[in-house]
Amino acid sequence: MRTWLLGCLLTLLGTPALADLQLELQASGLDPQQVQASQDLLDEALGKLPPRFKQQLDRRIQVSWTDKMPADAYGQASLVSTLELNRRLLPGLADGSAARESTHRPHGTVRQELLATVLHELTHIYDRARLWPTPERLMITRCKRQQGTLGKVGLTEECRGQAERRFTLSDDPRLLDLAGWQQYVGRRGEREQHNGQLARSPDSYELSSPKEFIAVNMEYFLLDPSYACRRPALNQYLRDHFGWGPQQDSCEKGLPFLNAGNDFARQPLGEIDPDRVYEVDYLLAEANQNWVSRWGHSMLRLVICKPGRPRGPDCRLDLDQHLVLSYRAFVNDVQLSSWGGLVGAYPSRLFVLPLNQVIDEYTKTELRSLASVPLKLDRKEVESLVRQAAEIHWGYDGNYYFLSNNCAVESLKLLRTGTANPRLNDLDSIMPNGLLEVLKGRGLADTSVLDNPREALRLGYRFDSYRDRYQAMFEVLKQQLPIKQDKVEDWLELDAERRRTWFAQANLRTSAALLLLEQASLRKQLLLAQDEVKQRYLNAIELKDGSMNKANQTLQQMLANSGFLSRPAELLDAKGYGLPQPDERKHLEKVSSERQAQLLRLSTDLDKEVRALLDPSRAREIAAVEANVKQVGEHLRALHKAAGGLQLP
Amino acid sequence: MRKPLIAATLGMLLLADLAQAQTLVATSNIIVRAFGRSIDFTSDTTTSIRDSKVVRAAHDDAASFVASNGDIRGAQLEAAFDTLRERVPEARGASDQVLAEAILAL
Repeated sequence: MRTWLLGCLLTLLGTPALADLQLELQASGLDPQQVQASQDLLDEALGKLPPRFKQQLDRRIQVSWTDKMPADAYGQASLVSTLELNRRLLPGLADGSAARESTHRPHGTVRQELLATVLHELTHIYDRARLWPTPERLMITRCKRQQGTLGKVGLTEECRGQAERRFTLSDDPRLLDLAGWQQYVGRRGEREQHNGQLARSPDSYELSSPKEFIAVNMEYFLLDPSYACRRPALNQYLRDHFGWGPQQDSCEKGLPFLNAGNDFARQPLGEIDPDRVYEVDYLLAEANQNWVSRWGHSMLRLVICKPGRPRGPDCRLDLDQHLVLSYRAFVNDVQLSSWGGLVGAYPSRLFVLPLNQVIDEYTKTELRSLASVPLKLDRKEVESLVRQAAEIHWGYDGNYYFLSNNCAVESLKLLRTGTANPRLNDLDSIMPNGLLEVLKGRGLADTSVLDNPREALRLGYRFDSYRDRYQAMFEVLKQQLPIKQDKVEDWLELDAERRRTWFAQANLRTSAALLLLEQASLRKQLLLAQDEVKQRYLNAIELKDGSMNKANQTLQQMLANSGFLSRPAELLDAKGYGLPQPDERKHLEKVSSERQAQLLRLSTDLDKEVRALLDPSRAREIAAVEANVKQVGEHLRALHKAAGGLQLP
Repeated sequence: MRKPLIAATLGMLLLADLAQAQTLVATSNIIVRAFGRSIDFTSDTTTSIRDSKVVRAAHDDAASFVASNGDIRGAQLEAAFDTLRERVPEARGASDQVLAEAILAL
């Protein structure tokens, strides 16, 4: 009677007498060899678990082999304290063949899969047991109380997503950010149902729900020494939670990425060393009349120092090193011409582009200016942001583009997940220009760099639209030469031959202005030609009259071959996951340069074929403007030489 | 329950479909690109300062600078000035105007 009472008391106190997690094998019906093999498996699993896991989950879990399970399943845990494994796999485990039988999955063999299963199922039990570390538990209690009195609207930024916590890990807002179930914008922390981080997953089962996500990731965290290098952010998250980490490989410093720039002669596989990233700018392309770009376009600019230069303000002018991270905007619009048709085909992916190309495309082709505003992030935030960007670059395949999921929203998600900065946690903005305002309001963006426009232009905080420059050039021209036109548009309306008659009398200064204006004219002609060819192309496809066949074939080949720039994971086989590791990178280097060489060949062909499709009068005008550009250039050089100007080696 | 799902083919199928739908758009954009490249002449295959990417990218900035008597002074030009002064001895003592003209005359 007394013992019974004592037992009750102990149960009520939460069984403090038990120390640590115990796995009890149900041995009835097993032969000694099977018992031994099962026990070894369980011992090994216990040996892999983090100390905190075992201390906190201090209960007895009964492990048994069962026939009542689908043939392709490995195992299943009950809610609290039992774990069943598929009996079909027991003979192989007992005779050792499971350790040799390959599964063609990242875990390798059937025995490793069984081990992973035990860890996976135990993680489910741990996750359900609400084993929060004390500070987290206190915070959750506080947030629950706050929500009870203030409602969701009044929740502080810290409490967003915390007040309704039910799981140790799988409903932690930080985990959901990293895993790819992002916050909907403007819905007070509610999570999206779709997870776009589906490329480079070790096991697509992880995408079925956050509960499975954490269980699958624990398998790899505990069993795969390369996990830290493949999924650095999640690895850090788990290490932080457990205050412990397993033996892991050391990682390469540089993060791989595919450069989607339009220089096909270059090796597209590049590397970003987070150490060399001085700061990150919010890069905003100003809005224009075009309806898709009415709110501008959000990007991030990595201010990367050239090799050998210590991190510091001087790096801001290493423009040729800087890279732009851009979630491509809407698909079906001419605006995309700027993004290079090659990468334009697939919506909502994170592209990496050279800054100089982005500047040219926006300021010269689209005639939009760019503002580049440094974000106030600390060193750790910058580095983890760069790492997260690389992971997203390889792993993210966001498919559709909603108004609620534009480039500003995507950039915000990347910033939030990458930096884990609490000030970004409850920030909701849907438009690119709005996002900059909000970032500024929270003290995260330093817009004072734009206060002095001249300095901003000189130091690369602002890149001005060539619309303004062309106007300025025309005014120079007007001052220096007795031309009749009053507006730059009228000047550009003139035939190329008529403009050419003025070249000979231009001095150096005027020639410089003429050169830019001739380039403006060339761009204008190309845009007109583009429109004409596009119309002809679309009509020809419809009529099937064969007039575009040759160019069309080349185009189709280019499309087939350029997909890799937008879906880099395509170049890798399915074995690896997360960030590509050294052996995968060798393969990548080879495959991507092969594809690039093919693209270079195809694009050279296309140049010729498309030119042949032009209306003869358009072709003549383009040729005339090209001749003008060349002639002004020669005139300039002659003047420069005659004046004894400096010749660069 | 933990099941070994072999492949994530569904996601791939979805994407293939989307890609199909976007083909036309991409196609016309490639046409644009085919023209656009003719003005684009930067290259990083050589180590000569004339051909360096930083200097080439500053060409239009240099034209704006010279035409506006130094009034328009863009960051790409500023970056090229730094590179030239760092790497070319005769550029070290030269004025901004002289360097801008030299870049323009390339």
